Amino acid sequence: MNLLRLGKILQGVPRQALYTMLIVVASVPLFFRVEVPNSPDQPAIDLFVTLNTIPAERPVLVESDWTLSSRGESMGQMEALLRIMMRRNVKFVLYSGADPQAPQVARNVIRRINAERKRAGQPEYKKWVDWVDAGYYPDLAGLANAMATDIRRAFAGRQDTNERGSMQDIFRSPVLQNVKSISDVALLVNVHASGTIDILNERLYRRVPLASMCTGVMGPQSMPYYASGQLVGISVGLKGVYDLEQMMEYGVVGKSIRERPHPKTIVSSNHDEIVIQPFTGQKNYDRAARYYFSLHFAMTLMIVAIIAGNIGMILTRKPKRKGGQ
Amino acid sequence: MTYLASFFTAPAASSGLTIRILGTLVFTAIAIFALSQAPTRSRRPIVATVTFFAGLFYVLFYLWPQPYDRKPNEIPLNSVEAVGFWLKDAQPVVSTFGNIIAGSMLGLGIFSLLSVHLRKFVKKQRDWQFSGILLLSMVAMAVIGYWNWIQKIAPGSPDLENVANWGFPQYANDFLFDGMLQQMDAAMFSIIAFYILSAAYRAFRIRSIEATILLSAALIMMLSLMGAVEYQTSELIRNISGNDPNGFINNFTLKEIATWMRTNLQNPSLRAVDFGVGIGALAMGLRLWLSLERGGVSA
Repeated sequence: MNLLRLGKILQGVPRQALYTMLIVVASVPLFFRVEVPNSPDQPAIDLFVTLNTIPAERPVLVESDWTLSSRGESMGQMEALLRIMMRRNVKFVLYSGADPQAPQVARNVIRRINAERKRAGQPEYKKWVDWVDAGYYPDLAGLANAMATDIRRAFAGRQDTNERGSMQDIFRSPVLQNVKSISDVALLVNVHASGTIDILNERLYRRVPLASMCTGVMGPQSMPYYASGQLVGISVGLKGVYDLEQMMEYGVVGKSIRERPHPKTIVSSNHDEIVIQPFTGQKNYDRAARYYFSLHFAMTLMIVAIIAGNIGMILTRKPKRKGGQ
Repeated sequence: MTYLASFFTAPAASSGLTIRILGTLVFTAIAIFALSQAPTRSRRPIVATVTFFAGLFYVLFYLWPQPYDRKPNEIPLNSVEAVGFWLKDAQPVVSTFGNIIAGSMLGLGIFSLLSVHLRKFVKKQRDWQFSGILLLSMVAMAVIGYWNWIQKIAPGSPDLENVANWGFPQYANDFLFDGMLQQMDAAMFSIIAFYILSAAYRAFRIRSIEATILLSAALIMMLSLMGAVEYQTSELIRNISGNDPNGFINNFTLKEIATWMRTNLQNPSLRAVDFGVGIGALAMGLRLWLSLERGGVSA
């Protein structure tokens, strides 16, 4: 086979063959849960440390702005967030500002994590007592402004089912009864697949600590806020979820700490004295552990395809004639 | 402002709230009908006036001196502070208005969808079968969704977060929403992966210096997303440096290079883009606020 022919073959792989290869390399690894060697990124470490050090008696606002179109990343983010908060008994308020479908998708995840806790013999996270549902707000910019001005009026009129099965104002729930202003909230976490973190940052920065759990596509847009200190932490895409699952498994220590809970414990270069114990014996590695392995194969396929295409192009390139003729 | 807030709010599930909702619906329907019947020449000033006053509120909200460390029942010292107090008190009400208007756009969308597809279905126009499926799906989702919601908010209803308490509406809602709509949403989005692979294979060629730089940067970022590759290269560099944490060569791990690119190339570029977009949005916002944009009103 001469080089010209090889070049043409490398450049002319049919679309159907590429698609078939992608289906195989992306789906077969999903059947295996593999602990991929990984070094968590500092923004994800900062998010994990924040989630594990916020005072448990103050609620967290969870703005869930994703649907199953980004389930590969956002669902893992949501699950990791819920597992950490539920294990620390942090109460939270769920609301959405980007998509009318988002609240129900988030409720489904909460139901599934609750079922997981039940199977593990842990207490269920009860609606009204441990978390409340503030629903969907079509005008996020207006809501964020109102939250900055007066959180009680921003969420005024929103009701949820109490322990007795009747609807009641969410500010009467144990979750929000002590919240008078946005500064009483420990953290606002935005799980998002669009630019909602921009809206929140513009209106709520310095009023409440903000954290982002975004898709890989939204990572570059959200990262400048972390670099400027406007976000306390950020988990980007599938790697971000895997970072969180790894930290849940092995814990995190500050750089001054010599004794580690586990040989694989992650060291945070932004913290000195902290020790965050791993959630030993609990379900830490889950969705990301399966998807991340698969992502490696899909990425490898893409890199190989790009290299093959370029080699093909070089091999078929006609040599330049001397004198520019 | 307190009077204004109490006029526009009422306790949940009260008759006052029902009357207000019905009143607002009737008023809105009359206003929209009157506006649609108005001559084009008189429509523009009405829309321009409403737009100006709606925008003026937020312009003042951001630019007017804000009350600092305001105590409950505090009386403003002067007229400037009085306006500041009023703006701050009015903002949550205006925000609720914004949510209601944005929510009512959904109704407009439903009206538009029904008018297009009902006509298509009734007149048996091209692809009328798809319109039929769309209408059927919409009605099924709405009916099951409301049935489920009414059961959920009914006084003394069992905890429907618990699957053990589910009945037909809950299972049907779960099947339609999670089992079909959301899965189709995920399937549609996953198709992008195929296009990305195909496009990367065919278009990512090193035909120029710029394309080579772009490809190299993309390769580094892609490899940095693969934890196993990133980890192994870091280990390799660490071994070369003899496990010296201060070794100069440690700056050349995949993680360090990718972080450097994010911090020093990507973030400043995005900030510059954001500044540009911000200035553009400001200019566009001013044009819309002052009704300098010609389209959209006279149609």
